[in-house]
Amino acid sequence: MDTRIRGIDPVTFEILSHRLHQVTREMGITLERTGGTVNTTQQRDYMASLYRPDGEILCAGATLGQHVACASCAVKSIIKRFPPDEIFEDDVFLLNDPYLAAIHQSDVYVIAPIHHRGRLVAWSATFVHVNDVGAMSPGGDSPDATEIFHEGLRVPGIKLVERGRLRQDVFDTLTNMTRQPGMVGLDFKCEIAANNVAKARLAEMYDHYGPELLESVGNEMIRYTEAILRERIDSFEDGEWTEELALEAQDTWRMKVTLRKRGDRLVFDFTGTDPQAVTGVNLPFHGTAGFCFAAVLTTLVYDLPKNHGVLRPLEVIAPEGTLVNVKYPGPVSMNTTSCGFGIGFLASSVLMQMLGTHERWRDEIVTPNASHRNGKHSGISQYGRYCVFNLAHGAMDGNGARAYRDGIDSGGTYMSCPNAEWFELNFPVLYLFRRHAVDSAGPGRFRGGLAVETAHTPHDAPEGRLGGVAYGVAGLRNSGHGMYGGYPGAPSVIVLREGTRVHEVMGRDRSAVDLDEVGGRERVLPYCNFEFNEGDVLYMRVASGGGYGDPLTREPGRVRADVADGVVSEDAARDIYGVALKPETREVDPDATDALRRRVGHGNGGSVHTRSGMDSHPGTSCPGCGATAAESGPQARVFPPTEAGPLMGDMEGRYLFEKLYCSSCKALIRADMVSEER
Amino acid sequence: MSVSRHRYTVGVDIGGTFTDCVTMDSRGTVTVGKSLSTPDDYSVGALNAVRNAAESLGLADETELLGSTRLFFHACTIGDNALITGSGAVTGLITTKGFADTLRIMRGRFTDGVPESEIFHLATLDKPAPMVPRALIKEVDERVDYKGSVLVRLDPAQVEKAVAELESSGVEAIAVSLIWSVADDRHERAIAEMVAERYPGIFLSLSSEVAPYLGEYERTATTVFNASIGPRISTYVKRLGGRLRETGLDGEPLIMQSYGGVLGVEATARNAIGTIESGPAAGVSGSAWLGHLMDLPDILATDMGGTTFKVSVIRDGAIEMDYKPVLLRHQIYATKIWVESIGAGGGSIAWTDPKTGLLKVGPEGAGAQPGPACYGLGGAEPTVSDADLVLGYLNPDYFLGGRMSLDAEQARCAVEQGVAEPLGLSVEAAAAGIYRIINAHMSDLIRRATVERGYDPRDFTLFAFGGAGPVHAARYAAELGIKQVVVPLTASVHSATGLVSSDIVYQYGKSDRLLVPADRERVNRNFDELARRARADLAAAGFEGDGVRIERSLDMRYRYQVHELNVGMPEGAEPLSEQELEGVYERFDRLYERTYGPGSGYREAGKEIMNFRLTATGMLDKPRLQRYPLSSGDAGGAVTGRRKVCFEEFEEARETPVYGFESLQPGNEIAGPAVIETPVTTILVNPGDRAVMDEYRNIRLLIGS
Repeated sequence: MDTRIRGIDPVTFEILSHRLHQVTREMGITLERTGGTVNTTQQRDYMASLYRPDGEILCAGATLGQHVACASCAVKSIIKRFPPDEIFEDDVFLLNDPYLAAIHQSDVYVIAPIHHRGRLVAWSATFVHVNDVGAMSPGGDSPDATEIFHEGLRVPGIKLVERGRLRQDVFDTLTNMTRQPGMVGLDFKCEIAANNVAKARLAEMYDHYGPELLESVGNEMIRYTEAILRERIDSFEDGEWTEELALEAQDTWRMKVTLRKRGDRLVFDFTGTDPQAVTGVNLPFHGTAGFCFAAVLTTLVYDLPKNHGVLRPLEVIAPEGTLVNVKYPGPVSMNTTSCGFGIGFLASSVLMQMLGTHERWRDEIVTPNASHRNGKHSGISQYGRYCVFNLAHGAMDGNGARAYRDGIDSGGTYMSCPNAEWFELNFPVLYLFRRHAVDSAGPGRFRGGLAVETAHTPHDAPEGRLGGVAYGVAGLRNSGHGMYGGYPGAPSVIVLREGTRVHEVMGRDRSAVDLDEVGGRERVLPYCNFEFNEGDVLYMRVASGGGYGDPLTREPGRVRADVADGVVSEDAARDIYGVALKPETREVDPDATDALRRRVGHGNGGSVHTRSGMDSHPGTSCPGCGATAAESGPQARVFPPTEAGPLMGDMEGRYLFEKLYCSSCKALIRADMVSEER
Repeated sequence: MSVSRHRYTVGVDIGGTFTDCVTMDSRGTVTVGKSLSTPDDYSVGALNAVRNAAESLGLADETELLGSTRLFFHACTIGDNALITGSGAVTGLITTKGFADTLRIMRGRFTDGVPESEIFHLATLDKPAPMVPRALIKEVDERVDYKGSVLVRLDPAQVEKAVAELESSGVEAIAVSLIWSVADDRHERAIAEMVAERYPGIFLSLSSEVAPYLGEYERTATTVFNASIGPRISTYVKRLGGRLRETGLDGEPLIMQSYGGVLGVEATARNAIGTIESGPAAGVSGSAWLGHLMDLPDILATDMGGTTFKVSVIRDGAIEMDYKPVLLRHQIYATKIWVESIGAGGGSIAWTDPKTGLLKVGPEGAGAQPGPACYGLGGAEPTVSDADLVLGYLNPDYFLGGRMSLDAEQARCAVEQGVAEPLGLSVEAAAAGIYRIINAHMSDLIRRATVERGYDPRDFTLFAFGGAGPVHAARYAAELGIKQVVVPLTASVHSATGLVSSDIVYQYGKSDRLLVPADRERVNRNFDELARRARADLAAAGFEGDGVRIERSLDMRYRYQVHELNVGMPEGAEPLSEQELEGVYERFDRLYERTYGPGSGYREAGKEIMNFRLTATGMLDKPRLQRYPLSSGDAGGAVTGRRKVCFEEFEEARETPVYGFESLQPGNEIAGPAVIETPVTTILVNPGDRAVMDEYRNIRLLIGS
């Protein structure tokens, strides 16, 4: 395919594509400023995009690629449901049915046709994650739901605004079915406002430039994104890469992907994934495809206009009745942050493995992260009102390491988290700490980003208690994974400590920052509803980034700096990084470091593993000598999980830490947790 | 104004390279002095610029000028430089135990201030470098809750230990920022007393004083920035004050603040953060003043320099403020004139993507060295200035009034190799493409500054500042339907001009979240407390009675939102009646819908008041600007030549008259196409537009008339 712009002058093309991008940006800002829930106002857990008359993506907004793709299905669904003569100028539609286009019911799409001189020329669409949808559990994520009917209101497409007039009866009917009509009302209103922005800006552009020119710009944008993406894909050697992930909660659900790269096409094949669950972690097919689309957007397409051209070279295979293609009426309410982020991880992991095979693309690697563990509370606030609130911790995950630099500490999966003071002002909780977790980052030549750990307790809750929901990517491997010998990051956890001494500690004028001192009965939470009582403490640690490259090759000065900053312990510096610090000066002791690194490196220690872990990563080649798995005949050695870091203790008894060494050059090829069962 | 000994108003603006001095006499005549900035001690350059102005005025020296100076205004970039180069004071931070990482975590939000093109490149993105090394952040046991109740009392022994450790690490400044100090500041005050007693030489910055607003991350960041530049700023302004006094000034220098008013030496020393970006702020406040003289209440002040294009909004005579600006990628709480900016300027580099055949301009710039290819300093990549030269807009022999000559051949060569050849275009067509794209980027930014806030750009007059601005302004204005562009006479020294028209302005505020309908007593009590402080400060600065103006406002939002809108109140400090308070709530609903579009408001969600704000102005006598009689319309006498210029309206370059600004007379009119050359910039008059020199010698471009 010709990658050059055709049939339109490049200057006009640049000006108009910039304008379209500005429109989606302004739609997003409008959502952010006028939304109700913290997802929208703080986390950028929203999407704003423009579509062509047939529902294809014209210009994707900057956030949440999975919803860009799903909203395309939503537009198509509206086109199918409403005859053309019932779609009027200034109509606004609402849809949140996961069996049509949405991912789960909390994700509400608002869609508006855009007309020019009476002709439908485009669509705009937004999504926000509303604060409540009247599901079993407050806030939407419902661990006890076993079918879609337990999961709240489900709208297959309805007119919220007709010919510019808000249908107040419809609006009230919808908000009336939620626990927080005021806030959900704001959520709906911000979506209407953002679609109005799109309409006004596009109207101006159509008046100024005419529909023919805009249509040819749209065609060219899509055509050339597709052409370049195909060319990029084609520049890789054909190959196959696989990855697996298990969600471990009350049950274990396994997901698997194989990426097949053939010519200029990519096939994500989820064959081998477990059957769908009775718990709402299942994804509809379009959701699975959407997460794959999003993974491609942030890797191969990061610098191109984002539109339907990205979808064309992709194929997604997801067998029906599995976690990744749920059959009606399976439950879905917790799916985005569980299987959804799981697929995000799987797709990104296989793409990263593919990038690693290409000189030009290796620098773009970010080690993949199965991140996101979060909670919600509900109950009566200190102001005597019922409230539901999201703890929004997903904004503080550590990010994966890169080929040439460390991962971003608390860089976040989402945009941002409110201040502790904001939470305490609005809701009856008190934060005990909010800090970087020592030794959470996956070690490596470049280490992963640090995770944040927090603890909070009910405070001024008039009923002395709150409800709670724990959700997200549950399990012990729900964090960053290393590449090329980089280690995994510490797992993310939610631990409820019941009946603690927190008040007693603070009563003695001590800040309650030491959990041993705070005490209480510890309970690691799976997907569940829980009671959060006066005197309980909820400890949360989000995901950390995985490392890149063997930690024994990390520049000792960087390790010293991390120790000085208190984010890597001296034990880890010595045992994992092989760096010795002089006792008096805390400077690097070069000789002792050399000796230490010789002793712990080069395939020493642990026990030789009979199984070669390479079967799950056949594409991996030795970063030291470049030998492929077949050539290098890698040797596996296994260790207890804490070999990978002091926070890996929870994995004891279920996982082993496996290191694969190249038999020829002894370089560390891969360092990963493997299930003990296997 | 009586003809007294004190007949001059003086403004001195220190920039990166030059220090400008503007003097205005009692008739409003403007005289300019310039000198090189002196980074080792900026006060030397400041006095040199004053001397240069004194010479132009025919005075003996700076002592004579300062001895006859009524008011001396000043803007400095010392704080900006210290922050940008990381050469601020060694700063320690004391905070609540459990929250030492607040500054580093940044609420997970770290892409503010990152160009859009870089935000999505995950392989290269990073957080900004830590503001304070972890070793210099000390935690102390203490805790206050949202109501201001003390849950954990402060332990003096721990404070003592923390301060002693910081002192022995060589800190020059200590920032103190504790959780919920906005609800009760007693622990911060206790720490301050201990530090002041033991280590009186250490500069102290308390979050409850510098940024008394809810939100520990932003409050801490603001407090730390203030601490790290505080020692330098306070030393500098005190030294400058002393030196000016020695040289004959009767009074103290008045220092420009980022919100567009000035403060005295002591107040500036306490709130150093206020000096950040105060030079540009002076420029915007100068635009507001000029607009007032010219009876233009709605202005878009645009500034296109070498690397950055900036726009600020003046609506109904009032400058739009930003209460949560971004400073070096951190969100802070400091009131600042609101500025939207992008990387677009004369030095923006044009490039082509060989794969797509697309032409891109910016955001990278050529910088001052080597600069655009036409500077002949070794730059080979085509820039916007090179395109402007190829198109005939710039005169290679009369750039910056002839102080610099441009290399037309280099410019052509760069545009040809970088853009024309790869795209298969003529050199002129390539240059025209660069020109159109950069203009579109700038009009997109102005759209962001207006349309996104519910303003119609067509209601505004556009002011064009900056060396490159007037070459482009008529085009980016026309794209938005703006009817009039003004290139002010004082464009080249507009920051210094803004200084001399300033007032003394104090800003106060506090967070106190109240659900609507709010307790009126408490609302009035909050404002009273701020007003009392304001009156005391103004009285100390010599302002009372009629010379004082007090304006109050509230930051409001719908419940649980995080973004507020600032709602103004009736002028004065009288207690609000129930009815007036109701009126404020209604104004919020209206402002919300105006800003975010009809139908966006949702009263059912409930409203809340977040912050109380009060601005106290001590009004200074404004200088007048000299007015000239208007002569006949014929500008023929000012034609200095003709040259070939390309306009998009015409297929080919055509002979176009060139006018010398110095020879134009007020009242002269010029029909486009034409070029007006001034000593500092070039004004392009496009086909179909007209240019008029007004009574202040400003050039007004009337678009499409």
